[in-house]
This record gives sequence, C-alpha cells and structure tokens, in this order.
Amino acid sequence: MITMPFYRGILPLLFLTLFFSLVNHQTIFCQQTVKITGIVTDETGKPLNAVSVLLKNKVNGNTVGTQTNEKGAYTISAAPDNVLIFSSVSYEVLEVNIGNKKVVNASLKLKSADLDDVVVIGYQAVKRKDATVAIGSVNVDDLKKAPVSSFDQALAGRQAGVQVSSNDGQPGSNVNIIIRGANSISQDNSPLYVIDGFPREGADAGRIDPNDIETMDVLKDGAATAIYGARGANGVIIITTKRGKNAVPTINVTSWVAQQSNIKRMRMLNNIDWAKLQIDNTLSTPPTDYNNYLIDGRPFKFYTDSTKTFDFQDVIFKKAFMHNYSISINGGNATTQYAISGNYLSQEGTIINSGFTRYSGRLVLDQKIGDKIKIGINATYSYNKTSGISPSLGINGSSSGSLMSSILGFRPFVFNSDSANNAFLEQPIDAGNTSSTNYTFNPLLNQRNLVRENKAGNLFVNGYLEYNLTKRLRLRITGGIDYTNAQNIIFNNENTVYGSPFSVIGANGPNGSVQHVVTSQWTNENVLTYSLAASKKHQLTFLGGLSLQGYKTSAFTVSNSGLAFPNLGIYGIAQSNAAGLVSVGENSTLWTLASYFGRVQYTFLSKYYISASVRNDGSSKFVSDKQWSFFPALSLKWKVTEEPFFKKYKGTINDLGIRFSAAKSGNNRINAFSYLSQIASSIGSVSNNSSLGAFGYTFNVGNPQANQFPGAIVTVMGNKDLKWETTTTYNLGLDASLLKGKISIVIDAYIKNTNDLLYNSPIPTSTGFQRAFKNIGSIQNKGLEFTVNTTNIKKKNVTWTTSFNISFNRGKVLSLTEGLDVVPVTVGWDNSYGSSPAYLLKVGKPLGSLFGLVWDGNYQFSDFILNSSGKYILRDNVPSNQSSRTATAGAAPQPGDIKFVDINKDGVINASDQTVLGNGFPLHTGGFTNNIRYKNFDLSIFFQWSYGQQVHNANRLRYEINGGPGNQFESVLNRWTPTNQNNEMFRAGTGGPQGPTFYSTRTLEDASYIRLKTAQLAYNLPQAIMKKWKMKQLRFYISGQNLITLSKYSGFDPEVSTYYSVLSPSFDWGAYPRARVYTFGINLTF
Amino acid sequence: MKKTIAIAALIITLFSISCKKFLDVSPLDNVVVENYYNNDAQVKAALTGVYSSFINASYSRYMFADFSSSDEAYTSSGNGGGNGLANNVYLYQFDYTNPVINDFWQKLYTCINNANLLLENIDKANLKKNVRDNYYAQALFLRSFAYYLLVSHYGDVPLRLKSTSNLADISAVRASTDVVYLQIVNDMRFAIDNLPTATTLNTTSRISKTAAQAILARVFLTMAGAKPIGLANSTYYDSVITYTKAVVNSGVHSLNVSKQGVTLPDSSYAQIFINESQQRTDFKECLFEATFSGNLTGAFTLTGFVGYHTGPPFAGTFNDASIGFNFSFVNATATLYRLYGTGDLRRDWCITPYYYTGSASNPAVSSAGIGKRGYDNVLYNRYNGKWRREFETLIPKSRFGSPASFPIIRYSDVLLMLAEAQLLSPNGDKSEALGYVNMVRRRGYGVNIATANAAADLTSLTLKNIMDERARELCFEGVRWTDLRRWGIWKSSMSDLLATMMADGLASRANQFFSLPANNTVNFTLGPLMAQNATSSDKFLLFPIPSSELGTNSLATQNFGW
Repeated sequence: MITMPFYRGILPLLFLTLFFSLVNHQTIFCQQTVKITGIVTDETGKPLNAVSVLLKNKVNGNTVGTQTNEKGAYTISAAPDNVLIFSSVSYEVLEVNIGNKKVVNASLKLKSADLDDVVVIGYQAVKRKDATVAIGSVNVDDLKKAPVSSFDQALAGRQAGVQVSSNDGQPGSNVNIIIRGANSISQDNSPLYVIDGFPREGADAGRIDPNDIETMDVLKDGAATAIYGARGANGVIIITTKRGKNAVPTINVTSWVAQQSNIKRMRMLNNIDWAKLQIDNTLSTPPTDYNNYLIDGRPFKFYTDSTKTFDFQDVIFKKAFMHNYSISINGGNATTQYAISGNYLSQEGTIINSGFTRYSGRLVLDQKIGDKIKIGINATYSYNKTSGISPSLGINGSSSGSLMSSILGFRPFVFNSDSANNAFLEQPIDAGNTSSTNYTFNPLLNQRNLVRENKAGNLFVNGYLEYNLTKRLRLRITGGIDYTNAQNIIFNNENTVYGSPFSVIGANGPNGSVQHVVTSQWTNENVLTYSLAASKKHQLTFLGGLSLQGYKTSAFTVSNSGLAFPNLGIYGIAQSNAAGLVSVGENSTLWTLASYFGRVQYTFLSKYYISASVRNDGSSKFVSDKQWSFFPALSLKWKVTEEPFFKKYKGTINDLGIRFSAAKSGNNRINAFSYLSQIASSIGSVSNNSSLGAFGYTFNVGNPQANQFPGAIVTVMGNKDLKWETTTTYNLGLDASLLKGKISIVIDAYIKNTNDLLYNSPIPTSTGFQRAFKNIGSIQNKGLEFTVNTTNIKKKNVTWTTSFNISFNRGKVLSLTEGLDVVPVTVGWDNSYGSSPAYLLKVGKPLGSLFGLVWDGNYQFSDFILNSSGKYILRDNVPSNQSSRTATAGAAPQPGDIKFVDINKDGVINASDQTVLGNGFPLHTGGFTNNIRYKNFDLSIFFQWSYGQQVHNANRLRYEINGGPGNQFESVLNRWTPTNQNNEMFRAGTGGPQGPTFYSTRTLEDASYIRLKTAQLAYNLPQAIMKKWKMKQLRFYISGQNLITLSKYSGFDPEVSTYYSVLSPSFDWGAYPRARVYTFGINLTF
Repeated sequence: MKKTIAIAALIITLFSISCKKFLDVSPLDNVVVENYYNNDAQVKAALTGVYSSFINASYSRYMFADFSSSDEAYTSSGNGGGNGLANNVYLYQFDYTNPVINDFWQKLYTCINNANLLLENIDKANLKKNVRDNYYAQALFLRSFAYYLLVSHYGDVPLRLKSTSNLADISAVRASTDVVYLQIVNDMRFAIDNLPTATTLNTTSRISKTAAQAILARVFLTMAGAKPIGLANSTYYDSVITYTKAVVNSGVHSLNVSKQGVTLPDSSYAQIFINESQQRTDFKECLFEATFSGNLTGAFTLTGFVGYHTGPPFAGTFNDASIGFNFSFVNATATLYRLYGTGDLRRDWCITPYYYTGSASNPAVSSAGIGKRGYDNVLYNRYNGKWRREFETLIPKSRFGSPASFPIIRYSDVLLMLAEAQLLSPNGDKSEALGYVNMVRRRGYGVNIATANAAADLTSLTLKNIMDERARELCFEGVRWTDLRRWGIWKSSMSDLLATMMADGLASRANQFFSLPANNTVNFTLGPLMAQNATSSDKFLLFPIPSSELGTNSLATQNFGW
C-alpha cells in the first residue's frame, strides 16, 4: 500500500478540498449573529453600488459576503467580534470592527494612483511609498483606451524613462522599447519582460489581449532590476494579468470596431512631369525630336495626348477595418477564485492583403488548500496570424524590389482608353524597366497574389504553489512553459515579382516555402521569504531564491519552385515541373540559465529604508570559466516627512522620500554559441554578391555537374574570452505627495555605465573573418525623469486628473577597444549604399550617431570656368564631388550637380569627408494625459511627443534623384536648370548629378513630433437604468488614435525606423504608412 | 528559525548539485572546429572548401572583369560591376572602401585561414602518409597562391601562417613583399615535391605538380619585375627558366592544336575556350583552372560570370536554351585590336566581330565585321569574346551565371614566360626563346606549330615582342594587370592608351543613349575617363589596403597615395 500511485491519493484530496471550500461559502455560523445594515458612500456622500461587503469571522477565519445595492445599502448577519471589509475596484479597502453596532455606514476613499499603490519589485510586492527604487507603474486603464492590438503600441509616452517607438505602421510591426537609453550595442536592447512571474526576453505583445492586463510595472533603476541579474540591464517590465476575485461572478464584455486610414500619402510626379523628367535625364540640351529620348520609344506628345496620371497609392492603400471582442468572467470565494477570458481581434492593414488576427483564451485558477497552501494556475492559449509582406523588403539587396518602391516608383500613367488602361493595370512589369537590377513590378498584381502568412499558436502556462512553512516563512514554487508552434508561409504565384517569368528573379516560376518553428522555454523558480516579527521600530524581510530556465528553438524550412499547380497555393508545394528545386533549411539553438538570488529589506521607524540584493547568474552562452557572474545592488530611502522637524510642513507636503541606489546588472543577449568556432559544410553558390559564396568546388572529371563536392569552411569565429556585459547604475530619486495627494511628483536622475559591450564586431578581414562577437568597449547614459500627477478637480459631478511625464537621456560611447576608433554601421536597404555607413559608433559620440556628408546645395555657374571648347571646368578652389575634376568625359561636376562640403580640404569629396551629422535618438520624450469626468461622461486626451531625433529619409535617395525610369517625388519639379538655379534640388541626369553614394544632410530630417495619440469620449449609462437592466455598467465610447501629428518630417510618418537596431535607430526606407484610427466601442459589465 | 535555515539549506543544496551540468550544452546544428578534421572525408571537404575560395569572387568575376581595365580592356557600360560610377574599379574611380577591393582581400584571407586550419589539424585524421602529404601539399600550395594574388595586388600584406584562434591579439603588421615572396616560394617548392602529376589527376581543377611549377614560375617572374609588386631582381629569371623548363620537360603538357570545326572562326586557339565553355577538361593546355559548373537550376549552383560578363552581348531570357543571356561589361580596346597581324586568327576570337540581335526564341547574328551599333567606325564597341555562351552545352542557360571555367594558367603562358626569362636572363638561350614565341604565334595563325611559317614567325625577339605577344595570346585572362606593372610600363601604357582613345575621337562619344540588347547604356567616354583616371596617380600601381582591414587592424598602414 505504500506504493499507492500518487494520483490516487492526491486527486481525491484535491476534490475534497475544492468541495469544502465551496461549501464553506454557504456555512451558517453557529455563533449568535445579528442583522447589520448600512449605507456605503464615496467621500462626497454619493451611494456606491456593487461594493463588496465581506464578513470575516475572527474565530474560524471564514468569510461570507454580500454587495451593496444601487442605493449603497447592504444587509448582512454578523457576530459582534466579526470584521466587515468593504472593497470596490477603484476605492481603498476599509475594515470596520462591528462591536455592538447594528448600523455600519462606510465612506470609501477613492484610490489615488500614487504612493499607496502596491508595486511589484521582482519576486515581491511593496507599497509604492516603501519602495526604495525607481519603479514606474503604467496606468493600465488609460493604456486600454487606445484602440490597438497589443499593449506595446500604446505604451509610448505613458511612462517617464520608457522610450517607445514602432518601426512603422504595419499590423504586427515591431515596437522598440528602450528604458533609460540604450546601454547595449548587441542585437537587443529591449527590456526583460516578466509576465506572471515568467521572465522572457521579448514581450510578444501580440499574444496578449490588453484587456487581460491588471498591472504593469516598469523597473527602471539598477537596484530594481539587479534581482533579475544577468538580464536586467535593459530594465524590466513586469506584467501581471487579471486573476479571480473573492466576489460574485462579474462578466465583462468589451467590443469595439475601428476604421483605419493612412495619415498621409506621398505626392508623386504626374504623367507629364514624369515624361519631362525622362527627357531631362538623358539630355542636357532640349532635343528637337523626342522620339528617341524616352525609354519606351514613345514621343513626348504621346504622354500629353494619350495618357492620364495614375498613382498606385490609390489602389494599394485603403480604409481598413479592425474589430475586437473580449469577454471575461471573474469570480470566486475565499478559497477558490477563477478568471476566464477570451478575445478575438481582427485588424486589416491599410495596404491591401495585410493584417493581423488574434484568438486567445485564458483560464486562471487560484485555490487555497487548508491554511498553509495556496496553488494556482494561469493558462493562456493564443493563436496569431500576421499576413502581408513588409513594404521595405528589397530583393537581392536592391531597394527596387520592395513593395513600396513599386507603389511609389512605378511609372505614373495609364492610357486614356479604358481597355488599354485595364491591360496596363494587369501588366506585370513596367515596359520601360528592363534593367537586370531593377525589380520594380506591378504592385497591385503582386500584392493581390503573394501570400505571406505567419501563424503562431502559443501556449503559455504557469503555476505556483505557495506554502507557509511557518508563520513567517513562506515558500513559493513557480513553474511555467511557454511553447510556440509557428508556421511561416511564403507563396508566390506567376503574378508576383518572385514568381513571374517577366521578373528578373522569377525564372524558376511559382514558388513557395513553409517554415516550421518550434520554440519552447521553461522556467522554474523557488523563492523563500521570511519576515521578522514586525514591530513599530523595525521591519525586516529576507528573500532567497533559485531559478532555472531553458530555451530551445528549432526551425525547419522547405521550399520548392517551378510549381506545377500554382492555383493550389502553398498546398501545391510538393508538385514541381522541374527536378532538384526543393531545398531544405534548418536553424536551431538552445541555451540555459541558472541563478541564485537574495534580498534583504530593513526599515527603521518607517523612516529609514535599506534594501540590498544579490544575484549570481550562470549562462550557457559563455565558456565554462566565464559562465557565472555576480550582480549586487544596494538602495536607501529616507522618508523626510517622518522626521520631527518636518512636522510643520506635513500639511502641505504629506509625503516626501529621497532615494539612492547603486547596482550592477547584466546582459547576455548574444547568439548562444558565439564562444565556439563552427564549421559548416555545403556546396553553396557563387554570386557576385559577396555575402553569399561557394563552399564547394567542382572537380572537372566527367560530368562536372555530378562532381560538385561540398566544402567545409569555418563560418563562425568563436571567442572564448566572451563575458557578460555589465551595467552599473546610480540613481537618485525623489517621491513627493502634496496637498493631500492632489499632486504627486516623482523625479529621478541616473547614470548608467555599461562595460564589456558585447558586439558582433568587425575584425581585421585578414583573419579570414569579417566579424566576431567581442566585448568591445563601454557606454554611458545619463538622464533625468519627471512625472507629475495631479487631481485638479474632484467633485461629485466633475473630476479632472492630469498626468505629465518627460524624460531626458544622453548616451555616449566612452571607449572602444582594440584599435577600433569607430564602428561604421551600414543599413541594408540598397546595394549601392552597401558600403556607406549611415551610422557610426564613435568614442565621445552618442549611440545612433548619423553619419555622412554635409550637403552644400548645388554647383552653380560661378563655381566653373567656361573653357575655350565650351566646357565648364571646376575652379581650382571648388571641391569636386567626383574623383576627377576635369574629366574628359561626363564624370566631372557640371553646373547644377549636387555639392558637398569638403571637410578635409583635399579638393575632392570622398569617404574621408563624412562626419557625424546628428543623433537618431530623441533628446526628450514624454506624454501628457488629461482625464475629465462630468457626470456620466468621461473624456481622456493623451498627447505624446518625441523631440530631437533625426531620420535618414532614404526614400528621398530613390525618389528624389532625378534619374532612372521610375517615378519621383513631386519635389524634383524644383530641380536645377539654367533657368531655375537653386540650391535645393540638383539637376536631372543619371549618375553624375546626384554625386557619390554616401548619405548626407540633404536627406537627413528632423523627425521631432508631437501627436494627439489617443482620445476617448465615453458615456456610462446611469446607475438607475443599470439597475433596471440588471447590469453593473454599460459604457459607450468613441476613440481615436494618431489623430493629429505635428511634425516637419516629409515622409509618411516621423515615428519610423524600418531598419531598427540600437545602432541604426532612425532610418526610413519604404515604411508602412501609419494609420489614423477611429473607434466605436461598448463595454458591458454584469 | 532553525527550521527556516534547514529548509533553505536543503533547497539550495538540491539545486546546486545539477547546476554545473545544466549549463553545459552544445550546439544543435553546427560542428565545432575542435571536433572536425577527424577522417578522410572531413579533411577532403575542408580541402574542397579551400579550393572554393578561388571560384568565389576572384576568378568568378574580379580577375577578368573588375580588374581588367588596362590597355586591353575597358567598360563602356555605366553598370559595369554594379557599384555605380562613383566607386568603380573598372574606371579607376574608387577608394579603399570599394566593396570589390574589400571582397577580393577578404575572400583570399578566408582561403588562407581555412588552409591554415587544415594544415594544423590534418594530423588528427588517421591518413596514409602519401594521402596526407598530398592533401597537405594542395592546401599549402593554395595558401601560397592566395598570398601571391594578395602580394601582387596589394604589396605588403599581413602574413598569417597560423589560423585565427584568439581575438585578443589579432592586429598584424604588413610583412614586406620580399618576406611574403620568400614564404610563397618555400611553400610552393615544398608542395611541388608532394603533388601528383597532371596525368594522374586527369583534371584541370586540381593542382598538379607541373601546374604548381608553372605558377611558381609566374611568381618568380613577378618577383624579377619592377617594384612595388616585384622585387626588381633579375636573378629570379633563372628560377623562371628552371620551373618552366620543368613543365616543358615533363612532357605532360602541350599546346592544343585540335579543333572541332566550328563556323566562326575555326581555330585550335578558339577551341581552348570552347572547351572551357563546354566543361571539357584539357589539362595539356590548361594546367590549372577555376572550374565552374551548373546553371542554377536545382542544386547546381557553382556558376561563375565567365561567359556572362564576357562574350557577345545578348538579351536572352531567364533560362535560355539558345544563346544565353549575356551582360558583357568588358569591351576590348582598339589598341588590343590593332596589335594583331593579318592572318592572326586570335583577333576575331578574342574580340567579338559580331553581336546578337533578336530575341531568345529567334536570335540572329549581326553581320560579321560590324560589332558596333550606330558607330560603325568605332572599334571600341567590341567585346571580350573568348568565352561565348552560344557554345555552352548545359541547357538551360541561366540568366545569372554560366558554367564556363576560367584558365588560371595555360601552356602558352608557360612558353611565353620561358621565352621572356631566357631573353632577360644573362644565362638565357635567346634562340630557344624565339622558338617558343613562334610556336605560340603559329598556333594563333592556325598553322602547324612545328613548322616555320613566314606569316606567323618572328625573326628576332625583343621584350616588346613578348609584351605584345602576351597581350595577343593571354588577353582577358587576368594577367595583364600584373604584366604591365612588373614591366614597369603601367603608367606609360595607360598614357598611350589615352592618347589613342582621344585620337580615335572617343571623348566626344558621351552619353550615347540608346537601348542595347542587354539594356546597357553605352558611354564610350568611359574609356578615356578610365585611362585618364589611371594615369592621374601612381597609387594605382597597388590596390589600397581595404577599409575592412584598415579600420580594425591597428598595425595596418595604407599604401602610398591612397
């Protein structure tokens, strides 16, 4: 019998427990009870409906509960030694001893979003007023007012020190979050996310229904993040999702529909202006006969007489629909609590054939087992589908392959006759474009036909067991898995640029690929907390824990071309017209992480606080003697208001605390096996694109094709010296609460020094490698953050609260090792700029420093001498933008060509004249929220800004070059001609006039902006009606997103970063336009 | 309290036991260097990887296209090389950031590092001694050949004889050319002793004893030549004689004199290149080649740009069964055209006398002798015609590459090197030299190579004769760059070329915009521009040390003038 299977013993026990816990709810007390009545009101005396009234029996600990009616009245049977507990969502909990009273009225205080809140500091929650470190709590209610598919899209401007920008407006597009300045130059600077206790290096925010979020805390300073040690250096965002409550079941339904439309469209040349440009491109003097001079052989007259302007923006961009339905049920009793929720969100993109869909379901259960044990589980399954191609994605390194390039760059005319017109809209390639390196393809045809689908099912389950070992010692064991099963489908039929026989790369015909990616991550954490007997004088708690985490991902891809039945779509992938086109790819990796951590918190007289933590982390990403690293933290707080000398001011300044902290945290986000040199063996392929290459070789005996042998070459240069990147942070902060909580202020100042930066660093190519991971230098970030929350009006019918935050961060590179003066950073948008750095990492300069030439307008006639043979020869003192000054041929500068500043004064503009041009990161960012309630109406208005960042607008390097067969921005109308001499836009012509292919200040733009990001106007139906309809709340609202944007930026949207990395933060090439969103929604609770 | 400590201690202990092992994980999908080179198959694959370096970039394009601009070739296409006009090696309009200059360097050093790893690790595999020595010699030879290409293009270069293993100390000084040459010579000599004969190998793609001897002779010839790529020491001509003689006396190699009877022009000289296009191995003439294969359908991906950047241009379709798409970036100069004498069959093979019109389904040969569009009198609109896609037999013909191979060294080169060394060495047999030159010439004229022929034969021999003969025989084969520099006549040749081009009126042929079959825009002024740029500075005697090295190697210095 000793060997009785485990489940036989445990399961019945579980059921019994569950049963009793449910029965308890109904238990009638044996003790003598009396009927207690009362009215519950708010501070203004207004009765409060649906306040939970709980009765706690001091003898047996049982509770029983009821709720107030619409008049705020309640009735309950209670014994004199019972305690009544009044609670409601937005009010503070009130406990009242009954004693001999028969009538117990209660007045509940509104919760103020400040010092009395509880914040999570990592493995523990503390009251904000007791927090010794800088932590920001995001106002989740405000956040949810934004009609977005995932929380990260609404995070910008909500929290001081948290800088949020999205790549562009594509549904499901990346959102980049940087907390207190980028302190790492390795691939990833995003914070660590701890979702219901599960640490993850990416939020994958798209999986989470924002309605499921209960709280969101941002750990900013090092002492706060150090408890997450090795991965805390980028800051930590702790998200807690909603759990069940000890209350009658509440059902909440939220539904909204939205219409999205692009904020802006680009102004392109019309048919006539385009044709004129073609002529100007080829000739410097006007021709007498235009026939020969248009690429398609048509005379200019043809364009004026037989064509009209056509702009693909008209048919590719559309008004798009988005809708969201969320339902949740919440409830439970004292021992069992549950939450169930489901969500469906569907978002069409504003570019046809793109969108995002999410289905998710969630079940949360918490169960008390006896007095000492509590267990819980939180299981979420979500299925996301993202569709559509990124409009900036080029082909073979050519920007002309991108969708946006075809939308804007296609020739802008259709024929006057409708039939010809339709034929034009169906033609795959631009008749004038037959270059082998120009991939422009009919974007409408392409976009209608290609399939890009990324479908991911994610199961996220975590559970805990809390065991009160002794009265003061508690063990909490958590475990979780995060399992994603994704399928990425690419399918290109014969009407896409990738599969069309007319396209440069479609030679193999219809093709497709399916990638299957399985990623699993698990974690186990065991935490012991011990709190010493609380006294008035001393409070002491200990926390110690152990954590294990593992990660594994494997991706397998199969692709095939020459598909026989393209009408079957991806399901026809197995049937090809040609042999040997199938290819298989694989990419897998894994890592593990083990940690010990501990924290001590001590408070003396509720006045002096000290907290210290340590964490020892071991990561499999390093060689064994470099695996472990130690991350300590210390923080102090002095509550000035508790000092006797402060008493006289306490009426005004109710609460004032000064904090200081110092800590070390780390970053290990590099590829898992960068410390090992690795060999790959394959045949490979030869290409003039040097990034590809042959591994194999042919030994020419007999049939050479049959004698292609695989070669083994070293592909990764391992670095056994790799070690953790560590960040040391010092933080000085101030928390104040004034005028009875009407004003609360948080100010923080910090310095962060990051050493041993991990970087896939360029190394001398004579080593046989271009790059290897190295610890290469150090970076410093300094910053200031202010947050002010005020309650301006708080009356029965009107409330008005304001929340304002602003953050300043300055980063700079302190040092780079090993003869590295600078690290040039190129952006892969187009081959012709492939070796021109757009950004630079340079000692003494900020991260994301923009790099290039300084633009100096155009060459004017005065820069030249007209020689005897009628040629314009550059004057000796004027620098040449070509290597030649007086070339026999056309490669010497001519009047109207672009001109740059000759920084090194050597008379020629070349790579050596490039300099740091600006900063890709903002000088300050912030947000400003106003919430106003008038009777049953409430209005929320949220402004968000980002100031001082500059963007390389690479679109202008393609659509403002006055060359090539494609269409151009309207701005080229102002091009230099002898009759329109100017310094803004160089003359027409292929090649020469636009100068060397370096970035320059000409296309660098100030992308500062302030926008009315979110506005919501809502109406709550009066309580009287609610009562009649047996509902708790019915709320209608309209809201808008990205309503007004003020910016000088000339592209689609100033918030853009199409090639985002911390080294190249502000680059705009082919961005998906951002949409303005109008929403109508209903929120129903009963 | 005691209980607390006991529980905490228990948990910590349980946890700690497994921690060390828990972090010990290995890559799933890659082999670590330490676990490789364990058997014959792995060493063989590693050796193949070393060979692959030469069909990557250098002999797939750069050696005969980007670096070809000289008195024999230029580009009339603004697209040439795809780097835009501003940073273009074809036009001598580039700097140390140029991607081609960077890539050429990097690929050669990749070869060197992979060879070093093989040399260091080969003894881990349990191989028979002769097998091991053969692999070792091949890897050592290929490393030396990579160093030869480096030193003859960049001058002083870092000499890395050990694989890169430690990133802490990776900066390296540039070894002077004489040190690099000494290493090359010693290593090649060692390799020669251990390499199999060409007859045993029966392939042009693997290095044989005689091929290694021929290339070592080329190294000595460069060393004998002018600085900065040579050591300006004429005693090395005797070593050239030694090694070329070894090739000649081996009896393994000979000039190709057979022909298949193709229509235009029917010559055994043309047959050499038709063999390359048709993937036939001919080790008698071609001692060593960069072998390409495949047509980018399915797994056959080892294509090059031979026959794709060269030959008569044609706007074929994507997978063409007829002529085959051809970009043809490389034009021949009139200077080269005029070097050929009457009756020399090599001229109209090396320089296309025609081009293709029509479409892939209906291609047409333009009438012979035109070879130019719009400007019938301009010789400059003719292309390098050595490899012609119409002769390729692998169908379909890809738009993006060709299986035609590229000869790294041919027997006629060996004979001309021998003749040159005999002429310039005090110990050389001058009359024998004349004989070798005439053998080469007779084959070019399509007459019996063993019989005297008044039309073909020279009666006396000067260095100028050899210079011109090398141009006629070896044009577009990637040797002119080195030849002009080692003779010390680079700058004067380019000045002469500029003068010729100006006299031919090329400077006024700017911006001739009309559509060509391959959609290139012809701009003949790129010819004089190239020549003018090339003469503008002595810096073009060497390539610049590329930015990818200079920016990261704290001990690296830049070449003069860059």
